[in-house]
Amino acid sequence: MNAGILSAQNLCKSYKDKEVLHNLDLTIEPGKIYGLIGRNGAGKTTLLGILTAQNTKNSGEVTYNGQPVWENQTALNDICFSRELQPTLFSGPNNLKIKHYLKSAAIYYPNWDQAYAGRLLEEFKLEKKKKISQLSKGQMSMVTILIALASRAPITILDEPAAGLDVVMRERFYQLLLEDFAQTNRTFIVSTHIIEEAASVFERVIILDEGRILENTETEELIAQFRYVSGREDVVDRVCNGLKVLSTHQMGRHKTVAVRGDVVKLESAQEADVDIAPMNLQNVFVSLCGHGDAQ
Amino acid sequence: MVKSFRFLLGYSWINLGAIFGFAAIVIVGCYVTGVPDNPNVGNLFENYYAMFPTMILLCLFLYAFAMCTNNLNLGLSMGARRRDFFWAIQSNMAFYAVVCWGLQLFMSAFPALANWKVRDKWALLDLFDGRVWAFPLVCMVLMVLGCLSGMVMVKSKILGTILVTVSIFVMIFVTVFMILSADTGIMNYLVETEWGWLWTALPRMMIALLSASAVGGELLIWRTIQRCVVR
Amino acid sequence: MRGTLNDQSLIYLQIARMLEDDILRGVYREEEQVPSTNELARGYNINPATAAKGINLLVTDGILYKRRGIGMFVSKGAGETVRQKRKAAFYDGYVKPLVKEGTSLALTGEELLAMIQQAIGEEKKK
Repeated sequence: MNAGILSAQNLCKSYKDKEVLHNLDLTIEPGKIYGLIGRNGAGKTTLLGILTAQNTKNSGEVTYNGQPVWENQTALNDICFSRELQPTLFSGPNNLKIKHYLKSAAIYYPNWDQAYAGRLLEEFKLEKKKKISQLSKGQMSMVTILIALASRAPITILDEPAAGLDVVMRERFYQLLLEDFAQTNRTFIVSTHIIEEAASVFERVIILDEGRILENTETEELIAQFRYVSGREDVVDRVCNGLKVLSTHQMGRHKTVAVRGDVVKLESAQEADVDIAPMNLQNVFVSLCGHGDAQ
Repeated sequence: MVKSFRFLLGYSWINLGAIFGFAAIVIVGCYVTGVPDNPNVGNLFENYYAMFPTMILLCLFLYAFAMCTNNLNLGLSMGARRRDFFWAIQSNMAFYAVVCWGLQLFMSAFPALANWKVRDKWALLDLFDGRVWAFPLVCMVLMVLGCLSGMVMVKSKILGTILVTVSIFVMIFVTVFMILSADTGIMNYLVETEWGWLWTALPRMMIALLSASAVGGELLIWRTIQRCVVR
Repeated sequence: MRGTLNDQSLIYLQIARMLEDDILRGVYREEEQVPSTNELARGYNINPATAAKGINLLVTDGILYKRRGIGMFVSKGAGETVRQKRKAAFYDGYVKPLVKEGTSLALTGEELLAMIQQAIGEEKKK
């Protein structure tokens, strides 16, 4: 599967007076699974919409293999942006049947794999004749996932695919994603709230916070830079001198801090009488994007 | 553009089927209630037959409305190019117009062919027989209005409702005008009056107005689609 | 399967460690093939790139080698290599923490050594 390079430069987007994306730069390398994580309202769906020419931008460029994506059939043929389905449309309840969605997808996605779609329909126990308005939230997510996977698009984007799925189905989703990736090596971008479960699936993670990209790195490389250091407050403070302290939690003289720094400094900290513990992706995310909301 | 055209065509077939189905029901209903033999039956089916052109216009308005709201959103969400979708809408509207025109010609001709008793009230149908190009044009205009109404309604319920009301007025006005010009008695009378020149010029004015609205509407549709944001 | 991975250390390190443990236990013998990147990824529900990183670590240490077109195999003398590698890390990984903990419990050097002797004795009896 030959995906091109999808890239955004200096992207700005405002809704009325509010700036939603600020001078954003992003390059999506082909053949990797990206996780796009951010709080509600960080701008994830807006960003994805603009990357796929489904939303308009105020300034900046979005290119696919150097050509702008806007009205670009070659780019649009290679991209699938699978969004959450809507149970109600503008004109009332969504009475479209699943098979109509599938038929439309078959028309629009050049790489559509009907057989794969059929297998997924069976596995998800979805009936083609059912209307979207009759589906549960979990079933709607399953349709979204089905379309994304069966599209076999070189760049496939899923917006909150796990919303509404129970934990067993979520694990199955990650499995399906990895299986597909192993077979096709296509580029996936998955935006999600459910961070820790999905962390092991993402080769790279993009953290979006209030319209800015905080991080775009290899997941494990990012996590390696963070630690929890806890112990007696004076020892902790000494050890953390020179490290970036992200958050502090104190109970009496017991202090726990979340720090970020280079590995060497962190290793030397182990000499002192403090407890050092690694942080997982979810911890990292909260410490970077928590903004002191929950202390 | 082929993709978007095929996409919309899927719905168009079904919608046209509904109109044809309705026509069939009306014809059968007429036969069942004795309309062919009795020029003054005055029942439901007779009226439906008489008003058939207006029924078509109403249906087309609604179909266009749906085409430019739900279908537009779905198409764009699956990677359709905006300009492709615009032309797909145009082709489908042309398709609707041509097919409905054919159906209307058939409905006009049918009573004579099937030896139904003649009746005056159906001047409306005869009229469309005469001015060959008027009906498709009116269909297109109403579909453009339907499309615009849909798109505007998404952004602002107030403006949308205004547009829908305007469209209904257009539909009524066109129907009334057609009835007037068909019933030659009234038309001749009006032409003799002070404002005679107005009544004579009215057909040409109407055509010009309709064409201008169609073109203006299309430009608006193009612009709206270019700026549309997928939900 | 996922349950055997934890979030106490980076995943690729855990993958490497698990393969090393298996080599020491004789699960994979010299010149035998180990699971491929994709098999590991499937088995642990992780990204293949992460699995590959773990395997590459062992290749760099000479514990595994690649046979083109076939897969990854256990090198000759891999068991010994793993043991050497772990011996080098033993001091920092086990001894220092032991002494540190002992000191914080105010155990004397003699008490620590006595405990070690006792543990050696119990191990011998198995």
